[in-house]
Amino acid sequence: MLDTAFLVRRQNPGFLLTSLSYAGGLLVGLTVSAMLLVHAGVPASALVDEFLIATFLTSDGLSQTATAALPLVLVGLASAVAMRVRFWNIGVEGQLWLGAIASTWVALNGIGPEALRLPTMFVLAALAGAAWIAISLFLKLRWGVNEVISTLLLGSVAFLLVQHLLFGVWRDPANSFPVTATFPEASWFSILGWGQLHTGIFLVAGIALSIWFVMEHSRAGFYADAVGFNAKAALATGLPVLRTAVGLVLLSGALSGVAGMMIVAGTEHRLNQSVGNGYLFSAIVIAYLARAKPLWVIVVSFALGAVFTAGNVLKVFYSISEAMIVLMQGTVLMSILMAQFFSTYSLKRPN
Amino acid sequence: MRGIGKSFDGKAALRDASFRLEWGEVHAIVGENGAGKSTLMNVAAGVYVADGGYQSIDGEAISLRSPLEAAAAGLGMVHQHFRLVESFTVAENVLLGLGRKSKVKTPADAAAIVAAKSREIGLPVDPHRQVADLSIAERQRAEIVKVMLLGARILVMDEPTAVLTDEEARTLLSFAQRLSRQGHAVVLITHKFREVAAFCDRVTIMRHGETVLDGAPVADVTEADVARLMVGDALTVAGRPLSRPGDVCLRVEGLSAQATAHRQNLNDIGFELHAGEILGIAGVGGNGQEELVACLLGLEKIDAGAIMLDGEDISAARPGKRREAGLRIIPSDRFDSGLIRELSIADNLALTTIPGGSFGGPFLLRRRAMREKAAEAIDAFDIRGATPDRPASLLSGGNAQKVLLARELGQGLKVLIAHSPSRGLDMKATEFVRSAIRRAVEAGAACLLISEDLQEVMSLSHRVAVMNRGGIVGCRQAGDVTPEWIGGLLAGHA
Amino acid sequence: MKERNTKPSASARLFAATAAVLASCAASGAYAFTLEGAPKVAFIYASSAQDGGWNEALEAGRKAVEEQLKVPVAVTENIPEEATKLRAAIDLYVKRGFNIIIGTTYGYSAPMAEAAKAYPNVAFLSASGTENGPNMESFYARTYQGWYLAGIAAGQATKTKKIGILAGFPVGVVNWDINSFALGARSVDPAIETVAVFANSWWDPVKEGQIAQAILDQKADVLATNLSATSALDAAEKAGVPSVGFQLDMSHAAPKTIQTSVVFRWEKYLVPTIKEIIDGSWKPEEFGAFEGLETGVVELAPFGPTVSEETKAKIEAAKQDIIAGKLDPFQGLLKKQDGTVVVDAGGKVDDAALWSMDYFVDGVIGTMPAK
Repeated sequence: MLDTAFLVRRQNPGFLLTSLSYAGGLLVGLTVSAMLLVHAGVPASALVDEFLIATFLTSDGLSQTATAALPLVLVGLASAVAMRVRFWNIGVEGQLWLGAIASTWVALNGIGPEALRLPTMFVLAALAGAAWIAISLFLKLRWGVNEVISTLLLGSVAFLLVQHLLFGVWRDPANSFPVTATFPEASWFSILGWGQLHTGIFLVAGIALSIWFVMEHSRAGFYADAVGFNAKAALATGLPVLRTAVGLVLLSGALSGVAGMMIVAGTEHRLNQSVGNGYLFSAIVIAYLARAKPLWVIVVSFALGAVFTAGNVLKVFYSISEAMIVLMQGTVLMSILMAQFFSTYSLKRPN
Repeated sequence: MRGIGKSFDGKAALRDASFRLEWGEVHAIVGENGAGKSTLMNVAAGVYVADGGYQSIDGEAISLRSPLEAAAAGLGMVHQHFRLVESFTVAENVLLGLGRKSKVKTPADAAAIVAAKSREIGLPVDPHRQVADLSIAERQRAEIVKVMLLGARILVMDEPTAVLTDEEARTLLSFAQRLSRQGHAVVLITHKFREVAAFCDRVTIMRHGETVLDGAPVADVTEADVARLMVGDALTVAGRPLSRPGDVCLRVEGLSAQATAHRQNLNDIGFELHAGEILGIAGVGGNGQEELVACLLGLEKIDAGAIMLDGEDISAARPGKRREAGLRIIPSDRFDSGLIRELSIADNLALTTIPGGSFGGPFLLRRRAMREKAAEAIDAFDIRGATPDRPASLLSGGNAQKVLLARELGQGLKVLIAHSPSRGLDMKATEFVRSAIRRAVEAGAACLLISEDLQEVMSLSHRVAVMNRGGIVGCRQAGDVTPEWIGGLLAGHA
Repeated sequence: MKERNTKPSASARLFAATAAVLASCAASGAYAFTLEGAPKVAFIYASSAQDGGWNEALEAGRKAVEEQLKVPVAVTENIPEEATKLRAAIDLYVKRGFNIIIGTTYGYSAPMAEAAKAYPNVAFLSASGTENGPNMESFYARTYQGWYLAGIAAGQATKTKKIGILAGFPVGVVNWDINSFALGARSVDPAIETVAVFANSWWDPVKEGQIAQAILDQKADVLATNLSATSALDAAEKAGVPSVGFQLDMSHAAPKTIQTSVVFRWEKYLVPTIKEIIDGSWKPEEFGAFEGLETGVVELAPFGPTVSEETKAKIEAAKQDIIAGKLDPFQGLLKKQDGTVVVDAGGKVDDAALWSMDYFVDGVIGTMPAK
């Protein structure tokens, strides 16, 4: 009987077991997804050809994946650094919108000299994102307001702010459309000549490596782990708990803000109502699958970027509905999470 | 019940305990924390299965393997922490307890029998109210009615007065007396004999898992007898450090703190601690020990008073600052506020010194140095089954405590707060911990030893203080401690 | 996941060129284009094609193209209005030999223009788009002409001399519908007032139902919706009040009370245009295609049971006048809500001014949000 079984945490699961269960979960998820697709009318022979090859083995597919992964790395890191100190940032999209608003303001008004346009956008986007999460942080510290609620709701407020601007001062003057005018080229990341991939990749790489270093090798990262695992013990042993938590939460907001800048300056070159959609879900998925480890965040972001690319292929050529794509993503995610769960716990029966 | 034995993880909680209960009496079981009172009654109520011994009801041998079987045999227990579902009403809780085989099927039926029972035994309970909305005393009454409805003729109550006001306690105890006069039997588990004496017929005293007084009529024992029997030979142990106390190292004056929900207030606590001295604070758990430690450490704010370390008031300083000043702690729960399970042993050992820069500046942590240092500590403290990279969660209790000692007794130690430092440890580990503390004190440190284990306090301390209801109620040189004095203070006789 | 995702398509009803000018722009200003390879057509939607409104109207056009021109037509749904996602879809299609790409929302416009530059031999049609070029044409319809006729129906039906219209956001193409509706009603009786309320959403059936009720509470006895959901019509049917639908024939929602619906017939534009592209005679308009009643891209759905013969005749007459150019809904003398004159008698509002229309005309009760 199942109800007499219980879960036992494995003592120190080895690297091999962890990797195998991860791969196993991925395989199960992909197999189930493939079955769903065949059932939905995609010829089995086409799956490998168009899905795998088009996504991973063509230059177009790879450049699309890389381009899509850039903001994903940033929001994934944003979610991960907050998760390390057990702060649930469910407002990644809100901070992203704020970052997008700040960089749009710089771009449209031509703030600062042209040569410094992108750095200015970067700094202001980071500050705007951090300021937005600071509201939730303040509410939590001052009155104990749960950050899950406050960050989520402030995400909606941020979107209303975007709407207010797009239907107000920033609407296209010629036709009142709720999109901003295209930015002057000084506020674009230059195209690298491989698909839509742009120089933002260097910024993202720099940020990701810095975060990796800070989280894994610096004192702050050490504090973060101690605070995240056991804040009471961290406080009792004299660590600067509050400073660590505040610092990382603000960093989380700043990273989301920069993701907003990455989108408007990298690929869209303007602000509209849809550029920030869906990043919250992605951020949480990435941070969970990567177990909040920065280097894994990069890997998982590219994997998720590939899933989006593959999803696009399926949508375009097999009229697979959006719901099916989401179903597949969910299936893969659930399989991996379950595999992770069983690499951490084993099922035992009494006696 | 005769010759009952019970061990947990190889540690004997009961050895050869016996207990005889008669119909129509209120029977008190008295003893220190950890004397085995609750364990014995949990065996009786089928919560634990005894390792050996003989149990009978009305002369018929029984062997209870679950609370349900005990209930069927007419035995019900009201635990310290009530077994009620807060989001349900009283009637729904009863329905839940009755199970599927009962004739009572609906909340309305259950409400009817709750109301009837409540009238019958004279204990007012509103069956329709949600448990979450009830006061502690009301919950206790609801729990009693529930247990009675499940068929209890023998009612066991574990520390029933601990959560009540004096007035409520009197009401409850006279109810117990009334119930016994109707032919039931009532057992009261308590460490405050004086409070219940007037309402009891007989008393059984336990110490170290054994019955030392088996069911004597209350009229025949004096309070002094009870205190002496409870404390026993604890006072004869000697092993305190050879050092002579030096200058005052830690002075606490008029420390008061308002409790947050469900905690103990601290009232005007004051004491002095000298270098090279161990001051033991004895007391039954839950009388403010946790709160005192939290205040000394800086985890909780104090409302009044001063904490002077080497003449400097540290009562407003962060925990980190207090550590820098030489304050160290062995908490009662190692993994709650001492060690971090998920971190490696090396990380745990380095936890307190990293902020001071002992393993590199703010940017690059010198992991290799941390590992080397950890390897040294593992050798020096003979920490078994440990390597620097293993997570602390894999350590046994004794070895985890050694990690904690290795860290807390390190450089800069001036005042050590040791809270139940040998809790949950075997003999050998206990001895290791105690001798490590002794050595540290001989080397000039001061130690505040807070423990519910009287034997521990007596074996280590130069002076002994007793804590009760959030205050220090007495303090003497170890040599002047008598069983009557300490027993009386422990049981709450100011 | 959020309301904003459900209907970006309807938000799409925009078009218009940066300096939107005359759609009647002479052919001399137009571009020339030659298609390479066999024609293969692809439609890309930002949400579901069966959305009950904007997309569904385009989807009807797509089916007509497939049936009448006998060319392969592919459909992709749910491509968000983001440059990366749309461009990826376009790239995939072009790689597979698709050479006529139809985007269905204004949000696709800029990335489509970039793709058009990258693929000069592929034809791009952008519904409610803003960009045009040698191989790209944006298209929209003069919906205000239809709304003027609907206004006549409403003016004929009202007894309280107060009619209501529920709309999405205050953008040019919505404002001109409201204004034209009010002007059509006033052509029947200059005393009629039009209550206009913005839902500030393109798709929120619950909120729309509440707003509809609020309009009815103000004693309006005709109710029109400028949105894709039928909530307003449901409310009107329940109250027994004459109603007007939009985008598709909405008579199913209010079979008793419906007067008519202002509908798109995109096949009237798409079939001939794609045929021209295939034939090699296509010359994209420099400022986009902007057709109305004269080509039938905008039409009225069949009248409801309560519409009188007299009303039908009046509407038919006005329709013929508009087609013949004798009548323009926005002809002088035209005044704003506050009384300032927009166009003097004898003049009319030109196309550029139409696109940037950010005011209500005299006779509309409602507040235009400040810029």
